[in-house]
Amino acid sequence: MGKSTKVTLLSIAVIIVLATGVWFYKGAQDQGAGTSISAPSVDAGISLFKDKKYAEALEVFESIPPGGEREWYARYYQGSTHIMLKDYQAAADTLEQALALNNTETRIMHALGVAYFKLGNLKLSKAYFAAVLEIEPDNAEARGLMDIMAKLEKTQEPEKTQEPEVTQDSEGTLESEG
Amino acid sequence: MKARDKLTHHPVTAAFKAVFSFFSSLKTAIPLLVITIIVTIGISLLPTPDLFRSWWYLGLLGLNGVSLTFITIQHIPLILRKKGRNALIGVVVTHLGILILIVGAIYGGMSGFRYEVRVIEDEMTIVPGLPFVIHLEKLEVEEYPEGTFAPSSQQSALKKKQDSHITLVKNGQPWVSFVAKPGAPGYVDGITVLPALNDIGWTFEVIITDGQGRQKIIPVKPWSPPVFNVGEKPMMVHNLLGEGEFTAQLLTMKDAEVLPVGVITQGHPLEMDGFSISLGDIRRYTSLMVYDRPHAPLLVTGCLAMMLGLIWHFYFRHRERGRKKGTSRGENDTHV
Repeated sequence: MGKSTKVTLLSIAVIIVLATGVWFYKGAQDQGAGTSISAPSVDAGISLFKDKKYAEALEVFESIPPGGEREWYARYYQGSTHIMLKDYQAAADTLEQALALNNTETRIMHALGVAYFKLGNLKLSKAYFAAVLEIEPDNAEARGLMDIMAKLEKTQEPEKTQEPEVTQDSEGTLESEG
Repeated sequence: MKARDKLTHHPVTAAFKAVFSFFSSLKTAIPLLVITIIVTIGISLLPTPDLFRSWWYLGLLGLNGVSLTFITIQHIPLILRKKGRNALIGVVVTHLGILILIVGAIYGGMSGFRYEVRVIEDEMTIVPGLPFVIHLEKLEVEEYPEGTFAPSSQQSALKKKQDSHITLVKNGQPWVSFVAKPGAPGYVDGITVLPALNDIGWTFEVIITDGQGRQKIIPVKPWSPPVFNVGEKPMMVHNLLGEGEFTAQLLTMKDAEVLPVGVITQGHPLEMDGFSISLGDIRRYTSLMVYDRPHAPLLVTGCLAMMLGLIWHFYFRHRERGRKKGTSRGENDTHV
């Protein structure tokens, strides 16, 4: 094998190794999305959300301009804030935007399930909890909520039944209690 | 001249020359092609076809495209000088076709998608990545008369009617409604929704009611049958295929052995260990292919260009040969 052939093969091998490395790095970064928010306004908004100062938190989230790699995270919290403020249509609209930006994030699907339940759209609510279960089959909360939706759907009278209470946990994520 | 010399020796020009010479060399092109072939075969054998859309695979295709472009450019003067204009047209058009195919594959990998999803009648289905939610409102199925097909293939046999009434939902609101059937898909915003011909069947619910009247609903999807507990007993259920009333068979597992427990039909629950097991809703399901192939025109154009280039190339080569033979025969005649 000539020297130039060796150099060529080596170059190609280096390109492939580098490309694979970058690919894995990018994948790891994507997985960790949401845990390393650097924008101070998002942090400030989340802090207000956790302190249950929803109106102030909403102002902060709404002031965040579109664009940016972690925009979905801000929109997710914005939608969650709308839920806490009982503005379910705005919550659904904002969370749909968040889902369009990150279509595998189960927290957004879960919140959408809650928002559509509150809007009385049981089929769509159930579908979002089912989508969470497709990705996380062991998510007991989503399974429980999906069962509730299925039962409510049978009665077709959601307003006459006891609505699950939407609460927030210490991390600021949404929970529902049947 | 000085300015030209400066340009020739400019670092950017030198770098471009180095890149050009690297990629226009067959020593680069052939290993690249071999690696692409091996990687393609490898990915085809893996259960994750998404790798065909990974940026490094598309990058590899791109490098092949760059290599082919540079090789073509480098060989243009030689072909023109030795084989003439007609041969050049054939080579350039064929290579252009291959390049269009590569561009099409990259574009399709970056922007196209293809999902296979099972949707249940009167339910909404979310597919992460799709810009809408699929609501199969109704699935109208009409079978051919009994005896049209062999009994063993009746379940998977062609249906006389198989209409999926679909509504796509965007932001919680109905967006588009259409009826799709195998061979007659629905088209929305460049996205095709095509029902499968054979993957169609039933999903149903098993309702377990305990002694205190508390109910637990188990949805049963044939493609992922659930294992659930009735009291302490692990149970499985499947529907018994056949004609007549819808019947589900319950099974339990004991010492790695599957044992039948009984059957349930509409209105006829099974009583077991203080529990009542009954049938809930029975709904049809169908499989849908949802895909967007924005690169299809590019692929067709690439194939056509490649075909035309080859036809041109071989037609003129044949004609040239014929002319040369004719000329030499004519020359011989003259000599004779």
